[in-house]
Amino acid sequence: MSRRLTLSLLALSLLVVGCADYQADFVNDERVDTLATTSPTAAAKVQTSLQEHFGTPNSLVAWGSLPIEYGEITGTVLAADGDALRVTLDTDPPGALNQVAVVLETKTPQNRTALSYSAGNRTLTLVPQDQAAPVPPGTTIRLIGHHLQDGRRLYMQHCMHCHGVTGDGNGPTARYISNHRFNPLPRDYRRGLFKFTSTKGGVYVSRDDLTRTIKLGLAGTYMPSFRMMKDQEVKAIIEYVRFLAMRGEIERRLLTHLQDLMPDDDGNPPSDLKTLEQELAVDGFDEAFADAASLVAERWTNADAPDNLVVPSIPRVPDTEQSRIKGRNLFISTKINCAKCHGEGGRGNGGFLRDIQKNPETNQNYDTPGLRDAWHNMIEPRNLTSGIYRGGRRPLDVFRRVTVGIKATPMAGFAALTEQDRWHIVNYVLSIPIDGAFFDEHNHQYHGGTRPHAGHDHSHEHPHEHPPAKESEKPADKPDAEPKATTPEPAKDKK
Amino acid sequence: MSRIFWCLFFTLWPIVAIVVCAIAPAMDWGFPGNREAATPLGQRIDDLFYLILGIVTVTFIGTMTALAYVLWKGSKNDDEKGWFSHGSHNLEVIWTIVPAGVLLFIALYQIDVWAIYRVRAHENREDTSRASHLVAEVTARQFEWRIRYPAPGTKFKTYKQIKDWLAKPHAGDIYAVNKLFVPLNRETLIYLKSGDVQHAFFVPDLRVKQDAMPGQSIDVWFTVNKAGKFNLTCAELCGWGHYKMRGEVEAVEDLQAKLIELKNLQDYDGVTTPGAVPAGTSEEATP
Repeated sequence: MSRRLTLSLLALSLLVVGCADYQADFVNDERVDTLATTSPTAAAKVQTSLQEHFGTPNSLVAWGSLPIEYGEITGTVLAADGDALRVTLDTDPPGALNQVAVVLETKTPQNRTALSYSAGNRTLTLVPQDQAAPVPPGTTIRLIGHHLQDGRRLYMQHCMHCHGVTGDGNGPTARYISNHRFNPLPRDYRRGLFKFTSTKGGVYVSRDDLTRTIKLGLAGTYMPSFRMMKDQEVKAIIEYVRFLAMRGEIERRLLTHLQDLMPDDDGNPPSDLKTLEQELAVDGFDEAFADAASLVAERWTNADAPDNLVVPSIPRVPDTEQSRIKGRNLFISTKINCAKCHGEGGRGNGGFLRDIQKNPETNQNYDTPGLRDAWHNMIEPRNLTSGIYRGGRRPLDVFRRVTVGIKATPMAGFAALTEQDRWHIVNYVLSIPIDGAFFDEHNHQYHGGTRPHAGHDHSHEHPHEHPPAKESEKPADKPDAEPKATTPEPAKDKK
Repeated sequence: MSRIFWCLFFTLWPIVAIVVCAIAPAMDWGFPGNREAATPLGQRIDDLFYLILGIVTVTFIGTMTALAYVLWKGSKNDDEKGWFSHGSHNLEVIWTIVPAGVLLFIALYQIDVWAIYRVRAHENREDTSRASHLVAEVTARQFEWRIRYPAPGTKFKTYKQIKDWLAKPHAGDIYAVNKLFVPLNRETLIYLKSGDVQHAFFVPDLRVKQDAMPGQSIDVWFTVNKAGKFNLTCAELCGWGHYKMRGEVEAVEDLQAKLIELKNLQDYDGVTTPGAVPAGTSEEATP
């Protein structure tokens, strides 16, 4: 009998395995481990400074130097029962209050952590702290970080699986997404690069853009829509994403600062390791950290500046046949050469795909031909006949894509064109899924395009149209280190 | 002692059943939507459910009470011998005929609800009188609902026109995600597709549940007779992110006006489109 009881108790206890609060950890950039092989001091310095300013996922730090809305509530100390301190909040907190930082505004401000909260009488109990100075009732408190805490909780429920605990785009399900050729991997936030923005070239992603992406998803990718999420929840997630992005970018910048301490290609430490270590990781470290933080903070602040928004100054040119023909002519012109990537038929199979590209970081050629994004993933130019627009299908969205391009990808912006011309291109691009990509100027009608023969690009079937790009005749394996002068240069949008 | 225990044990269950039935309305135990479906067909489905629930409850309470009575009676009487009924022809005829009759009654009684719900929707697909009911195409994909409405004012006259519309994008189509607007008090036809794996379009308040199959476009018919917003979920485990597929169906008085509103948002060019909201905050029109 007792054995049976023990067995069933054992079976029951198996059910609750894994119910403990999961202790997540931020993952280091791989270069931290590389750095540790030559200079453990420097690697530890990076880790401790990040830990100090950002904490861990289960114990976040709300560092005031960053442009993040951590969420702040004020309150008053009610009474001190022994060690525990009870305080009344001025307003109801919208979310969970575990582990939120509390600043007690005493003579010397004290930092505490929230322990438990009773919503009925709006009373918060703080974690007792040994040898803390006594706090008289009536002292004002500031409760910081509940918004970020909410964001973390929601991020762990909805986003972490793909984007990873650290926001490195390497969550547990990310690998299944990468099984599809050319399917974009989950965004790695740590470079501050986001593809679909409403901001000017070189400017980071705005909160509004992130809201749109979360609410509407990215059509045609694995980023689904979280339309039914409350606005407050979306806001909290966005702040947490920005938090992760800033943390990751500061880490990257620190590692760039410590680049000279890294082992060389054969794994040998630099010859003057000790001197460099003293110089970079001890004397110059704090300054480098502060520089990285202020740069990152400035860029993320700029992203929300109204001046940095791309807004057309003239309304959309009426979507007439004439306008579409103008757009078509620009699309295939050597001036901007959309067809070079998107193909004459807009099917995303232009000749440029068969060229070997250069890795911008190492300046070496990639092994295989094809386009790559800033994360070195193979990507495809959009098939414009599919009617799926990842960055949004509003004319405004397409206008922004034409103006500043898609960040972190070879899709360049064409801000140098007049706004009229950009609207012509928008009109043409939006007409492709419906009327086809080819316009026969002699017969004044569209034809082909939407229902092509499988595996054929229409450019070969329409000799009266423009001749196919020469690149498409080039053998696919022939490397082409130097892009042609007609190639859309990403530099264009930076003017 | 153990006699008393078993007597009490079997007496307890009919009492529990009666108590549960009695307090259920007060405890708000029942179907979604305040126990009332938002479609006429859904109300009939509920009625059928309550009918079956009634039959089952009466049978359960009756048999359990009889069992308890027999136990009580037998436990009091140590002298009398039990009545051995095995092989009683009459009894066997009774307990075969009565349940068979009940089942036959249910089968016949529910037949037209089933016909409307499952059969009628799939026959006569080419019937031209049905073309005008088309509201939208809903494509389930991991893990969201992509919705496409025909351009406001489009009148479909034949099934061929619908087929053509379903096959490819058309000028003026309105795109949306996770939020479906349907007309109030009008028969509505949704074409349900799947972009990847099997999903199920489940609106509990409307009592509508239909699997979405890859490669098929399935008709879903319903008439919403209550204005409001209803949760849309996926009812087929479609992958690790199944729980993310939260959507909403909203029944509106004037669907055309709503579609025109969506179209204005979708045509927003950042400068002039009438009725548009400032850039970045437009949530209705979608990629």
